[in-house]
Amino acid sequence: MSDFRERVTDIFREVFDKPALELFDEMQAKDVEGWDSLTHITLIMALEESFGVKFTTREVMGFQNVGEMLVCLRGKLPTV
Amino acid sequence: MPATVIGQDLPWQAWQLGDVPLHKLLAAARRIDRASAARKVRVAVLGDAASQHYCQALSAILKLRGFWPDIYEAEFDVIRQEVLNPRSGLYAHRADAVILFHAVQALEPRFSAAADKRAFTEEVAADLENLWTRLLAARMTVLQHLLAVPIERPLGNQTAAHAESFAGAVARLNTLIVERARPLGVRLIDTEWQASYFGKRVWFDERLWCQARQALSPLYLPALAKATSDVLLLGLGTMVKCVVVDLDNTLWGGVLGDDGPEGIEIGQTEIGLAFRRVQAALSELRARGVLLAICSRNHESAVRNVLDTHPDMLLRSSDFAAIVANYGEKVTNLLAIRERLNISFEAMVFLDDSPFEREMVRRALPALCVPDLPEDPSSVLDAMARWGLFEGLPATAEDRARTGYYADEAARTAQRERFEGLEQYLADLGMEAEVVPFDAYTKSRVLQLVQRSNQFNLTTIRYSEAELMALAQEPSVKLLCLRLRDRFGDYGIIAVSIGRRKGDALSIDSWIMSCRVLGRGVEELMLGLLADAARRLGCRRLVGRYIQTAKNALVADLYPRLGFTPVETGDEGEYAREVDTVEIPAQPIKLTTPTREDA
Repeated sequence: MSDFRERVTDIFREVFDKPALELFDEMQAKDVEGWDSLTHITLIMALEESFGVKFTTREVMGFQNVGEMLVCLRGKLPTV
Repeated sequence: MPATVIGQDLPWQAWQLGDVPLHKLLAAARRIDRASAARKVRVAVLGDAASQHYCQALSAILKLRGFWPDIYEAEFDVIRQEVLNPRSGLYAHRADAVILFHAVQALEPRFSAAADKRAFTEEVAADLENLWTRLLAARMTVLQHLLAVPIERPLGNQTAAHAESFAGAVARLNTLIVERARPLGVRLIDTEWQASYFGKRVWFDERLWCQARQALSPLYLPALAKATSDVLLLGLGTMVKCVVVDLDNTLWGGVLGDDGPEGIEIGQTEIGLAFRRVQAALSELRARGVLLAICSRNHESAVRNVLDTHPDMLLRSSDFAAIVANYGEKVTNLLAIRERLNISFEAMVFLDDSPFEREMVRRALPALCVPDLPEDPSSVLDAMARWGLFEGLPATAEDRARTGYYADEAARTAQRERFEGLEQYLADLGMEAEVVPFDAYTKSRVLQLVQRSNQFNLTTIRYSEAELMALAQEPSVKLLCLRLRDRFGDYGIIAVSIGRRKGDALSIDSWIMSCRVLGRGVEELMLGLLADAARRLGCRRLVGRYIQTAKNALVADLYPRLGFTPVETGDEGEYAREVDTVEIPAQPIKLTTPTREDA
């Protein structure tokens, strides 16, 4: 599962153009410079593309924090 | 993907920009400073969909193409107000060009509310025309997005046929926009093509329209913004005026020099059909006024002959403004083509199936656009559409006559330039060669070289499998098989030579090499290996022989080039060289020790 977190971290780093960014579950948009509604969409798209999943309309804008997003994303992946 | 080149990253070329993910595009553009994007473009974007992402993508692409954008982005959905109010921000910005970014989703409520569905398209078209004429009067270039025909089909298969359906109305509206834009000089951005090409199921993203009024999935924004930049930059020096093509496995299947004019694949069947379609696509470009030119490793006479006599060839020699076919460096030949046609590399595209040649050319001539050609020729048409390189208006009669003009001019001014970066390029390739044994693993490839190669073949002795097996056992014979790899991949066994001890000389009975690796130091390496073998067998001299055939003119002067001198008392075409002065070169190919699993 740490693999999963690493992959997501890489995508965050790329999207926000911050190579040293570390994720934490309570992280919110306000904690990351440049995380506005536009980059949020870019982030969602990049996650969808990378993991081959689709978020619902409610999910797209509705995550409270990164932890919630990760749980939702992981739930969409096939279980090994 | 960026064009990663040995030792350095070249900037993305125009053909790649539509495929770069949005966030990478934005990150790359942030690192561009004002100095490297010298030419300023003042643009206004008016949209009835959210346009922030669109503007970001457009801005990034313009910067990556060497332009510095100054974009006025109007508020959401105030297109009419901006255009009709002479004191709006739009006019204050003094934009050179205005982009009308209309989204089909924004039109839908108006259609729903329209009492007269049949009059709807006419009304919308008239509205647009009104906007255009005002903007044109303010001396702005107008760019209008066509509308992506939506996927809903309330009337099933009959939807498109009915103006009463929204999809039917949008399709008609597009036709009206096209008809009316043209006489006014309004430039169109074909959003409908974008959506169709990528697939409307994914191009439209209903979630994002509902959430954020995004007209399309941001995944396809780079491509749309790239297309917009193509239209915006028309006339600013980005137009492709000439397509230079390689021949073997680019314009037809196979190698003309090896397979002969009857053996190459072009025509009505299988791979030949795919290449014929490529030729047809190039022919269309030519008809539009784009010049075609040839840069190929071949004999010019053979090239002209096959172009003009092959029954299934679509492009003939007269379709090319310049034909440069020889065994020299591609870069040198491209410089010659530029010279002859007097067209800058910025206005040229070079198509070549070989990744090696492509990288070499990109590195030596960074201004020249060298798109990656798909390995499968049946994917080339798709790739050409996707690159978006051929923006332009239909040809005039003058354009069509230009090919003839250039061909005459070319004949007068033909001249060549030297390419100097080659040595460094070869050094950076990381080439590794290995002498492999002739055994069950290598037998079939070695036999193929011995029995089928025509061009780089000094004596063209066609040994059978049994004969080769016997030779390999002979203590006075050295059979050398050479395998090559570099950072582009493994070429497999690319050269074979057979040396026989005759008195104090090692006689080079056969020497065969694949033309793919010509001029990369393999010849010199093989010479060094032969000299080494000669010394081990107690020989002082190497004796080589060139036996002329219809197809091996390529190596007529190989021995003199490698420092051999003619043997006065010997047979015709016989050359000799002392071995004590010949070493195995340390550069540019590194000789590695054989590893069994590779052999």
